[in-house]
Amino acid sequence: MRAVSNIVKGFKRSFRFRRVAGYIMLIQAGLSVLVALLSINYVNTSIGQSTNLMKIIEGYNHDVFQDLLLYESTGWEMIKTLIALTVFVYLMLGPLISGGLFNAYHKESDHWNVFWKGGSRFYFSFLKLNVLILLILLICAGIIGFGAITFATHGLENFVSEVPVLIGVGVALFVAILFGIYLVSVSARIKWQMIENDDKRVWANFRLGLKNLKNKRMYLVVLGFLFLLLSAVVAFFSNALINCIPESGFALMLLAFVIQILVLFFKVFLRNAYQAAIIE
Amino acid sequence: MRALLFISFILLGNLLWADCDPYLKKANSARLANYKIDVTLDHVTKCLEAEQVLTWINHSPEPVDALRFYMYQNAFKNTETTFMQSAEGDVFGENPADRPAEEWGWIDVLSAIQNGQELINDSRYVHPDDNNTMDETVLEIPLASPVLPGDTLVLDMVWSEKIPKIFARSGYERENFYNMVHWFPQVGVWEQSPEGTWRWNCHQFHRRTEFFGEFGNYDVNITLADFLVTGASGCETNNVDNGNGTKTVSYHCEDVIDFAWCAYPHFKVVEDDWEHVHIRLMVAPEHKHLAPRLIGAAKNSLSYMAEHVGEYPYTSLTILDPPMLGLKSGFMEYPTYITGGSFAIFPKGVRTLESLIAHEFCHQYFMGMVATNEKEEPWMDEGFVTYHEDKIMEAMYGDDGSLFNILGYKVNNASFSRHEYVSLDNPSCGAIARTGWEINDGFKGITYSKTATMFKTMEGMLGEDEMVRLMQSYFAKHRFSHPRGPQFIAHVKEHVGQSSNPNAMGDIDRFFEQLVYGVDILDYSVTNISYFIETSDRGYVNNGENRDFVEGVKSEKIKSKILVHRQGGVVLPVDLRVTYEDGTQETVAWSGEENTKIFIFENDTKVITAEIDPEYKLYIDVNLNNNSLTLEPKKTPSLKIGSKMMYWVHNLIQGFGIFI
Repeated sequence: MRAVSNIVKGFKRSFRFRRVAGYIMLIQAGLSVLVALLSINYVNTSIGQSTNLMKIIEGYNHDVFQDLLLYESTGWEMIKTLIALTVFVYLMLGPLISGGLFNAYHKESDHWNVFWKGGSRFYFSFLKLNVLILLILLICAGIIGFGAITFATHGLENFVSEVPVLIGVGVALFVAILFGIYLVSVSARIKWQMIENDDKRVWANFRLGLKNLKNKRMYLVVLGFLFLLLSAVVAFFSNALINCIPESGFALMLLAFVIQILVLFFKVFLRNAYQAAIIE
Repeated sequence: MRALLFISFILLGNLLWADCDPYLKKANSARLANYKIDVTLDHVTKCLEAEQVLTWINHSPEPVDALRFYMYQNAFKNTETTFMQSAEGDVFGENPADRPAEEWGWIDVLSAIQNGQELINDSRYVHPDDNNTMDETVLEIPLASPVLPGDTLVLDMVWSEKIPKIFARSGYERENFYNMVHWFPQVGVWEQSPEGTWRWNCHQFHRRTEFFGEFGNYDVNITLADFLVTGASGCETNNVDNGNGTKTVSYHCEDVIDFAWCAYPHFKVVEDDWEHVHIRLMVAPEHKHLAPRLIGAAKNSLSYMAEHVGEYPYTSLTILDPPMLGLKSGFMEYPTYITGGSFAIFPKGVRTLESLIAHEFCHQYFMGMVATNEKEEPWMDEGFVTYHEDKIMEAMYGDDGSLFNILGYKVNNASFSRHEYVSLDNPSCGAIARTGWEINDGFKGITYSKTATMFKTMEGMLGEDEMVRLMQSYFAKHRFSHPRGPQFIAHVKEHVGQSSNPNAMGDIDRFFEQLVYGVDILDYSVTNISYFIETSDRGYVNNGENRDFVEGVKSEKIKSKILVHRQGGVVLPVDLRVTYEDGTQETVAWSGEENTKIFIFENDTKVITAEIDPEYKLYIDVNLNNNSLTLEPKKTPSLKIGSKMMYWVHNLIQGFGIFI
C-alpha cells in the first residue's frame, strides 16, 4: 500500500513539475526527430515517387518494405547507425536529466536554471554512478543469463518437455528484471542523497546508499514492479488507441501524431513520478 | 438368409471400421508394389527385425531380371555416405562426425527368396548417381528368373535394422520416441525413360530429396513394447496384447507410395473427422492445447484441396506433432501421415504452425498422389505444394496477414514466399528445374519459393478461376501416376489453349523456358515521366529578304513521355497504365521485348502516374517498388514513416532512460 500511495504522491509531484517534464521531452524529441528526418529523406529519395508507397498508408506492407530494404539498403544502414548513436547520446545525456530532475525536486522549482545547474553540477558524478550501476547490472544479468542458458541447454537435452525450460527461463528473466528495477531504485536514491547532501563523491555515497536501503529492498522492488505494470498498461492502451486510427489521410495522420506525442509526454510524467516515488 | 448375412456383414464392417475404414471403395492406382511387413521393435537395443513379402507386378513390355531397393537407413551408417557427404558436416546444426558408435544406424537384407531360391548372395549395392562406393542406399538384387511382362513377382525377404538416433527425420530419440520413415527395403520405380527405354529409377539418398515410389498396398504388423503408443500411415486394423509385455498393432494402407509410423509412450491421441477422413493427431502432452489449431488447419486444408484441386480419396490422415526432443522428425510428409513442429508457447498470430500443416498436407496431392520424382524434379512437388499452402492460408485467414499477424506486423504467405526468393543472395543462382543433388545454393528460395511465386504469376496472368481449373485438370489427369515437368507444361499449353483467353500467358513455352529452365530475373521499371506541349510550324520560313519568323501553332494537347526499362532477362507481356491529371486512365500493352522503351501519350492533361503491371499480375518481378512512378513525390506516406520512426525511437530512448 505504501508503494501505491507513494506512486500517487509521485504523480502529484511529477505533474507539479510540468516544465521539467517538458525539458526532458524536448531533449528526447530533439534526438528522435533526427531519425525521423533521415527516414523521411530516405523514403523520399528511394521510393518517394512509387505508387507502391501509398500501400503503407493502410498499414505495414511486406512487399513494399522488403523491396525497399533489399534494393535501398545503404540508406537503411545509415538510419540504423543513427538510431544507435541516438541511444548512446541519450545515455550520455542521462546524468544531466536525472541531475536536473532531482535538483528541481530538491529546490522545489522547475525553472530551467535549477534544472540545468543540478544537471551540470552533478553530471560527472552521476555518469560515474551510472557506469557503476550498469556494470553491476551487466555482471548480474550475465550470471543470471549464463545460468538460464546452461539450464535451458541441459533441459532441452534431458527433459521430456520444453515446459520446465520455459518456466526456468521465465523465472530467470523475472529475477533479472526485479534485480534491474531494484538497481534503478538504488541509483535514484543515491543520486537524491548526493543532491540533498550536495556531496559529489560516488563511491562513498554508493556504500552509504546501499547501507541506508537495507530495509527498503522489498519496498523498492514492489515500487519498481508497480512502475513496470503501469508502463505496460500505458503501452497497451496507447498502442491500441493509435492502431485504431486508420491514418488514411493527412488529417488522421496528424491526429495519430498528436496522440503519439501526448503518449510520449505522459510516459515522461510516469517516469518522473516513479523517480519521485523512489525518493519519497 | 443371404440378405441377412449380407446386412450383418455390412453392419459388422461398419462397427469394425467405425473410426477409420482402411479399404478404399475402388483401386485408384495400378498397385504395382505391395508389401506385407511383420516387424518387431526392440526398444532396448533400438533394432528392428522384420519379415517382408513384396508382391511386385511388371507392368512393362520388357522382362525384368533384377530389382533395385531403397535402403535409406544406410545413409546413416557412416560419414562417407552420399547423404552425409552432401550434408557437408551439418545436419540440422549437428556435425554427424561427432556422433558416438551407438547412435549410427543401418539396414541389412539377410534373405531374399524368389520361388524358394535365395538371391541375397548375388545382391550388390549400386551407386547410380555418384559412384560413391561407400554409399549403400541402393541395393540391386538379381532375380533367379526374370519377371515377364504382366507377371507378378513374390519376394520373401528378411531384414534387420539398427535404428539411428535421428539425424534427419528417421530414427529414435531418448524417452523411446520413434519416427520410422524410409525404414524398410522399398523397391524403386521401373519406368520408361524419356528416350523410351525401360530402366530402374532408384536414386541414392541425398541430403534434400527423398521421394519416388511405386503405388501399392501395405499391410504392416508392428510388434513392440505395450507402453508405446503408435500412429502410422493408413488405418489401424488390429491391436493385440501378446501377454509378454508386447503388443502387435496392425495397419493397412492402400494406393500409396510409402509407409511411415511412429511410437512414443507419452503421445496424447486426439481424433476427429472431416467428411470421410478420420484425422488422428499424435501430440506430445505439452502441446495438446494446440490440437484445435493443428486439426483445424488439417480440416481447412482438406476442404480447400478437395474443392480446388481434387478429391482426397484416403480415409485417414495421421498428424505427428513431435515433442521437443523429437523435433528433428518434424516438418515432413509421408502418405496419409504428416509431421508438424510446434512449441508449448505459440502465439495465435504466428501461424507457421498452421502453415506447416497446410504445406505437409498438400504433399498428399503433390508427390503423394501426383507422384512426381522429387529427386530429379523437386520443384514438381515442393513448388506446387508451397503455392497451394499459400492459397490455403490466405483462404483461411484472408490476404492481410495470413502468416504473421502480430502487433501490426502482417505478412501474407505468398508475400513471404516471394520474399524468400527475391532476398536470396543471388536470385539467379540456378534454374528451378534441377535435380535435388545439383542444388547447392538457395534450395528453398528457388525450389519452393520461386516456383510458388511463378505459379502466383501464372494465376495473375490466367485469372484465379482459370488457375484453379488448370490445377484441377492436371490433378485429374495425372493422379496416381508419375508425371514429369514437360508433361505439366504440355498440360498447361493444352488447357490454356482451350480456355477463353488462350493468349493470357503469351508464349507458354517461352514462359517456362525462362522461369523454370532459365536463371534470369524479371524486373520492369518506370524510370522517367516528362511532358511537353508541341508547337508546330514555328520558326523561320523563306530566305533572304523574305525570311520571316512564324510564331507557329501551339497544340492544345499535352504529350507525356514515359520511359520504361526491362532490367532483367525475363520477358513477359505486361500492361502499362497511365493516370492523367484529370483522373482518367489509359492502359497499353507492352511485349517487354525492348530493354528500354519510350511511350508517348497525348491528352488534354499531362500524365501524373505511370504503372507497369498495375494489377500486380507478374508477382515474380523482383522489385515491385520500381514498377511505378509519379510525376511528383507523394509526401504523405514518407511523413507517416517519419512519424512512426520518431515514435518508436522516442520509445526506445525512454526505455533506456529508465537506467539513467
